[in-house]
Amino acid sequence: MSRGFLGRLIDVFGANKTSWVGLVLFAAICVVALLAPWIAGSDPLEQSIIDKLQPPSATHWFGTDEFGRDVYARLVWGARISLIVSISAITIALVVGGTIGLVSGYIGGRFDMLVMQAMDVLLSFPALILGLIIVALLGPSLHNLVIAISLTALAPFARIARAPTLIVKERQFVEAGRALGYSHARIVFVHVLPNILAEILVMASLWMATAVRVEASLSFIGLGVRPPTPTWGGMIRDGFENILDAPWLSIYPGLAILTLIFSLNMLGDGLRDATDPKLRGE
Amino acid sequence: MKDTILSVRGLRKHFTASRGFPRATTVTIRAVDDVSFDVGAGESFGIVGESGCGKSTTGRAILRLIEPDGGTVRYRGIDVLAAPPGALRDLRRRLQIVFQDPYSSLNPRLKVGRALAEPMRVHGLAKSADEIDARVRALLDEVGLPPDSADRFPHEFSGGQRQRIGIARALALEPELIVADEPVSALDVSIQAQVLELLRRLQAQRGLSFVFIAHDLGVVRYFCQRLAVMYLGRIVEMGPAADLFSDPLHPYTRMLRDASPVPDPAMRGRLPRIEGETPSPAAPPSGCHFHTRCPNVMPVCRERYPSAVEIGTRQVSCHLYGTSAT
Repeated sequence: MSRGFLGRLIDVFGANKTSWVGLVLFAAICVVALLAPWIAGSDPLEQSIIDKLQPPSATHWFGTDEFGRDVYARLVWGARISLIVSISAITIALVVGGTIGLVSGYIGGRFDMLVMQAMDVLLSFPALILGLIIVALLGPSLHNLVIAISLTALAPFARIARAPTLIVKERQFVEAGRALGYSHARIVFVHVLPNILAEILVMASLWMATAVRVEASLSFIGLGVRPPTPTWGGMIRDGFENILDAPWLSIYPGLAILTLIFSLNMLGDGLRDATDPKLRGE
Repeated sequence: MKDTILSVRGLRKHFTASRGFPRATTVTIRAVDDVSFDVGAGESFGIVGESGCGKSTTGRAILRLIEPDGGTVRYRGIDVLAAPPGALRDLRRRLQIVFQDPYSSLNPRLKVGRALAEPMRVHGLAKSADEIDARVRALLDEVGLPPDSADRFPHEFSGGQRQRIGIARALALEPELIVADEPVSALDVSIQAQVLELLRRLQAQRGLSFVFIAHDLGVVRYFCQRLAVMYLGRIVEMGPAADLFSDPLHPYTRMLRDASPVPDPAMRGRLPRIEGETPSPAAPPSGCHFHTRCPNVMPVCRERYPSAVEIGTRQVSCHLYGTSAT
């Protein structure tokens, strides 16, 4: 490990064009979501019976839906929901799951075994099914959606944090910390955590894509954020009823989801290469 | 001997492991078995032996980095093994350790300055940031590193320099006794001498005591006043380093001494060979553990473990000496 994480990141991104594409696309989507009030052009909720089911044109770039709402404006505002849900869900999963894995791996023994078996139970459900169960139990809302998705991602984060912890805790600087009279909390969070952070962050970028997919899927089956708030998954479902007459209703949000997931996967691949021990010659 | 500060009595550490498939059996590995010794103030006490003889386990058990299964460790009258957390923290300040591997013993994400300041901060040894800064610089100077080392990461240093950083970190707490666990065996020979010279200077200046663990007799001879030779978890011979070298009593000590290279071409090819492999500590031989390799083996050696016999300033566990030979 001769260089910092950032230095390797720049190297890998320099050599790997697809991760650049991912980074640029993801940044673009974030900018769109941030600037939604200024670039949406019209109110995503404003209905107009006269303009209903218009094909794409100069006034309505991506056409209008069955209530005459502008698809472009709804897409731009929908980006916010996708990003808010996935970023907050993954942040919660990263902090809670990462801490569980870190502490469990550090303590080890029977405690570690029990915690990890509990995580295995969570892992045995596919992400979508688990999200579905939780939202069905709690009721659909932005809040519950975030909780559901963060719970589905909890176990993978616990696992990915635990594995490198098991390696790092055997290194002598951890023993040195004990010999120097440091508390366990200090050893775990000041000495072990910085050494496993890269692995967790890579996981976060890859699981962001899953979170976007689960959010879209739940919205698609009506368990996401309540209408009329525009969400990409919800827009695809609404467009389904008119898929033959007005295919733009489903195609554009579908492409938006595809682009976001693609960009996150590319970005995650780049990050993973940057932390791969084989590539950094350890 | 000067005043005893560290006194180890009957120290024991047994590990259990499951071996075998499909029917696993639990085996007990007696890593440290009934080890007793004293270390005086300002003294360097060496523990030597082959890998797996329990010398590192002994060093860690003294500091309670490994909890021993039995015996007592007293440091200036304080029972280390029974010390409650508060007292243990204070003992951790006074007893420090320097590790073998300079690459693994430093946190790669921590700048050297922070690594040296952290122990002082945790133990509240310095009041202000300026004072900590000054002390970090003084420590770096003391171990022979440039002052700008504080702003660099461990990977920017060579093995020898990293070992100096490890020593500086141990010194940050102003300890009285340092357990040096093979502090130079991972370094190049030329660097070894420099680091040993540094340790010796620190000992003289600070009046430190050392428990010096090594497998290389040449290194120990240079550094230690008294020595203990360990074989399969037990001390087989102990005494002043000079005597052990000039006149080893235990056959194992003699073999160890003769195995360390002598820079004399006339001696080439005339070194006695050490016969056989070290037996597994999980299944040590009956009687004296060394009888499978001993050139002076007698029938009694296979039956009983010899009790320790005092011969002058020395102590040896061998049937060749004392009452057990009769």
